[in-house]
This record gives sequence, C-alpha cells and structure tokens, in this order.
Amino acid sequence: MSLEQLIYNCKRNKLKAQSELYTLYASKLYSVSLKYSRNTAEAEDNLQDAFMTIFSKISQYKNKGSFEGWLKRITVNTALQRYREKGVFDIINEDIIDETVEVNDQEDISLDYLLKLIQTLPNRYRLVFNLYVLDGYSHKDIADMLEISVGTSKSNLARARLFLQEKIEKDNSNLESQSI
Amino acid sequence: MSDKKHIDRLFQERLKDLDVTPNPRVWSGIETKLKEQKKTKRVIPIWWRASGIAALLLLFLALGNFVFNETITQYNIPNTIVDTPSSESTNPKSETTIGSTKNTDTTVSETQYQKEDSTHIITKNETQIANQTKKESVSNPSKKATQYNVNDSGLVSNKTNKSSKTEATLPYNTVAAKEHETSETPQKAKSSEILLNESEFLQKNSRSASNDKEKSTGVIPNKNSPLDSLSIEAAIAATKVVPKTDQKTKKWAVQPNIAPVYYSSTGKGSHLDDQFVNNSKSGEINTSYGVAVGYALNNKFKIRSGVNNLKLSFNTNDVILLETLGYANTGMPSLKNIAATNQTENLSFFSSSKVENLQSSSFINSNENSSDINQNISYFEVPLELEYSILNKRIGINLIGGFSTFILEGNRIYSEGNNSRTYIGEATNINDVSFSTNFGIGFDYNFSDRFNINLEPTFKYQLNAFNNISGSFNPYIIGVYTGFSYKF
Repeated sequence: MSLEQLIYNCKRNKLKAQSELYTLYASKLYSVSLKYSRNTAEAEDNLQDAFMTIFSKISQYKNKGSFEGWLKRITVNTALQRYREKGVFDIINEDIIDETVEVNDQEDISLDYLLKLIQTLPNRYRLVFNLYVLDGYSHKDIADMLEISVGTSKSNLARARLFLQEKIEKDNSNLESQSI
Repeated sequence: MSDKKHIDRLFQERLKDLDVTPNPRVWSGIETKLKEQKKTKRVIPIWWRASGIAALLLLFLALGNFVFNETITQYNIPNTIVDTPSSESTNPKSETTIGSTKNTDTTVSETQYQKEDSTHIITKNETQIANQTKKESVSNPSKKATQYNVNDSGLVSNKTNKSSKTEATLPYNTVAAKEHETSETPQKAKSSEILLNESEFLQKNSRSASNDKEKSTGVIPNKNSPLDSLSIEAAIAATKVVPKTDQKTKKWAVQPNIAPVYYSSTGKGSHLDDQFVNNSKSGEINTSYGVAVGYALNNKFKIRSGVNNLKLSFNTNDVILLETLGYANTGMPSLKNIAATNQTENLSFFSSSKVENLQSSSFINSNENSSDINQNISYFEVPLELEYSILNKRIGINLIGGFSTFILEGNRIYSEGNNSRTYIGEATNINDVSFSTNFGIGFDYNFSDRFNINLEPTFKYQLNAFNNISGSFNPYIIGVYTGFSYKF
C-alpha cells in the first residue's frame, strides 16, 4: 500500500491502516517525544496523545509538504501543549549570555547518556534547546510557539548549553577520578 | 584524545541516530481509545438520526391527521346526505349497525348520521356542532381512542357473531389506514366495522395511542426489531421530555422576527364569487412579525415554534360597483361569500366583463365605478418547524420545513375605487382555523455563539384557508423573515 493510500484509509478511520501508520512512524515520533519529555513514561504518554491527535486531524492533511514533518510537528506541539498548560514559560528578564560553549568530543559519550542529559534539563531549557538545536526552529518561531519573548528564548538556550556543559564536564571528572 | 567541539554539534550528531521503539502498551492504549471513539461515533448519530426521523414522522402524522379530518368535515357533508338513504335501504346488515351506533352515540360521524337521519337537512348549527365534536376528538387522539375502547366494547359483544369474519380477515396494519376512511367513506356499515376492528386493535396494543398508530401505518419498516422500537420510544420521550429538561449547553434560542409577506394564489378561481373566476387578481405586500422559540435537538436538527401576527391583503381587480335601489329589484344576488353590512346592502358588484352586457340592456340606473375588491385578512400564526443545518460556521445555512396553524383574527373586505375606499363587509368563507405547509431556507450570521442575525425566505402553501371556492384558488404566502436569535 502506498503512503497516499494509507493516509486515505486513515482518513476513513480504518483501524488496520491506523495500525500500519503507527508501525511506520512510532519509533521516529517516540524519539521526538523522548527528547521533549523528562522520562520514558511521559514520552509514552506524549506519543499516545500525539497519535490520537494525528488520527483525528488526519483529514486536515492535504498531501502538501512532508507527511513526516507534519507528524513531527504534531508530536512536538503535543509536548509543548503539556507544558504550556502548566505555565512553565512565564519567566522573563533573564540576562542573555552569549558565549561559545564547547565540550570535549569523546567517542565514548553514548546516545543514551546525552538523552538522559536532555531529560534532566529544566523544562524551559529543554524545550528551547530541543527546538533550536535539534529541530532547527528559529528563536522567532520558538518565541511564538512557547508564547515567550525572543530574548527569553535566547537566554534559555544559553543557559541550557551551560547546564549541559557543566554536567558533561562534571561527569567526565568523576569518571577520571574513578579510573585513577 | 579528544577535540573541543561545540556542544550543539555534539548533540545534533549523536541524537540524529536516535531511534527507539516504543513499548507495545502505547499502541494498545491508542487502539482502545480509537475503538471507543468509533463506538460512540457510530452509536450517537444513528440514535439521533432515528429520533430525528421519528420526530418528523410524528409531526407529519399528527398534523396530517389534523388537516385531513378538517377538510373532510367540509366536503363530505353533501355526499353523506345523498348516500344515507341508499345504504340504509340496500343493506340490511348495515341497518342493524345503525341501531347500535345510535345507542352508543359517540363518534362524530355517527352523530352526523343520526342527525341526518332525523332531519335530512343540515342546518348551519348542526355542522358547527359536528365540527366542534370533531375538533375535540382530533385534538386529543388518546381521548378518542379511549372513547372507542369504552363504548365499542359493548358493541363488540353485541355484534361478535356478525362481524367476526370481517374482523379476522382484516390485517391489523390496515386498521389505521382505514381509520381515515372512517370519516371519509359515506357507508355506515364499513365505518362501524372499522370501529369494531379498531377497538379490538386498541385493546390489544393499549400501550400508547401514538406508538400504535405509528406501528400500524407501517412507516417504520422494521417494526419487529427491538432496537428500532426502542429508538422510537426514546424519540417520543425526547420530544415530550426535552423542553422541560435543563440543558447546560446552549440549546434554546429566542428569535424575534419581522417579514414582508407577499400573498398570492395559484389556480384560476375566486374565493369571493363565481363571477370573478376570470378576473385578474393581485397580492399585496404586508407584514408579519412575531417571536419564535427554538430548541436544538442536536447540532444538525432544531425544532421551533412560536407565534406570529400576520396581515395579508389580496385584490380582485376589474370589479364594477353599482349602487342600485335594492338588489331585489335588479334580480342580482349579492356576492355569495360576503356578508354585507346594512349600509352596503344596496351595492352590487359585477365583474367588468359582465357589465358590458348589462349596459347594453340598459339595466344600470346609477353611478358606475370601476374598482377593486380588497380583502384584508389577519391571522395569528403558530408555526411548528424543523430546521436542518447544512452549514454551521460563522455563516450558517439551514433548510426549514414544517407546518403552520392559522387562527383567523380579522377579516374585512373593502371596495377600492378611484379615490374612495368603502368597507363592504366580511367574508363568510374563511376558515377560523387553517393550516399551511412551510418550506424555507435560512441564512444566518453568527456574531458570537449566543447571538446571530438571520434571513429566511419562506414559502407557505395554505391548505384550507377558504371553503366554498369558485374554481381553483390556492393561496400561498411568501415571506422574507429577518430577525435575530439569542441562544441560551
């Protein structure tokens, strides 16, 4: 079955097609959910909510633009919605720190470790970092999406970077001290 | 060892490959929710659709019955006079039936017959009585049913031997259909037979009169399926209970409206007099205003009623007005459907086509005016309409269908000459209560979810506005109703 056919059947609420669509995109969207969530349970919840939205809104998808992009946007929005309701983005007036943050590039830094790091970031840092660094949104877009100012977005990103850098370096030194 | 690297790059490169298969429980959760959604989606619309259809049928049935009986009282009276003696003399069996019906003395047709038997003349009073009793029984179908039950039970016991055969052969489905014939068919034997059948039928299915009627007419094809009968019952309950229940969502709406109304007719004929059949006639534009109350059954169907004051005006053109010394001298009768006042008794009206002949015979001895007869009618209108929403956005489009009951309020006839307007009298042939079928299309513009303005061009075809019509005269009303609606 072609993707178009699959989408068409999903629009007609065919459970078989919906199941197939899930199988095709679940892991990609789960990865997105993991990055935007604090833990696995939250990511699973987010994935479920995102798919429910996808199935109910699929009739609005007009075969324009990348379907995968559309799915990802919904997944990201579902995650943001969660935090928007909690009102975690209200902090403003943070100083913008603009400095290059670098870390040692080590081959043994695992993917799981990086993901954990992201998940431990405070909500407002994590979301901005994800949106800007990993998903390529501009500060203007982020400001609109999170209903914050561009300045807050930039500031949050900078703080996220520092937070991550500190974590990585701290863990590195712990590792080194252990190995000695 | 390791190079310094921008932290963004590190995350971008590594997380690019992130691909984690979620736990299967995520899908089972989604699947459960989807199935639930499908169930509710499927069940609710079918229920609503069924109830919507049932409500519509009920409406049509009730009003159809109403209208049907109403027209019968008007037109069947002359027939029954003719038929009564023949059926009495030719059919001995039917005579015995008459005896028993005379004793029971219950239904309208029976009282009619009884009176005809004794006098063979229908006076005005008698028909009025007949009409009244008819109206009583029509307006309260359940009452009618119980009447049949009580009184006919005696009949059944008396006549079981004679009529058992016909009872057995008649299927129950036809009973309701024949119920209409009861009043329609002039033959007594048939009608009383049907009464018998009906009483038995009603006794057997004595749950609720309306429910039985619906079943027996066969409008619901699967009357045996429990789901259907359930939904019909539910629908009936809904239509009855719903106005009383307190709804949180904005289901109610108040809708004051005003409309220019145009009154005209199809068909060649006159409701005033035979001689005006060929005269040109013209409707005039008048006003209607009133208030409607609507109730949303769901987001597609809305039922509404209300009360309107409706003024109508209609002209019969090319009428010659003659002032005579008294029409008895001229040998000219007055107009058959107009009751003249004392002042205007000596006025005679002629269609201008006729007057040419009259002039040649030098019949006329007084001033001559070419004028129109202007008839003003005002009604209180009580519509009962169903609204179906085609589009429900900021701009809404609805289809509207239903009935109106018209209660006659005022009725005046004027003669309109070149410069004068003379009150002639009242029309005698306008029914006090009449009905129309209504079709319309409604457009509305929603300012908010509470408030909208609307525009509804509506066509109303009057069913029985006049009796004793010369030729065919089918009046209709076109109104462009505008107003606003407030939901609560």
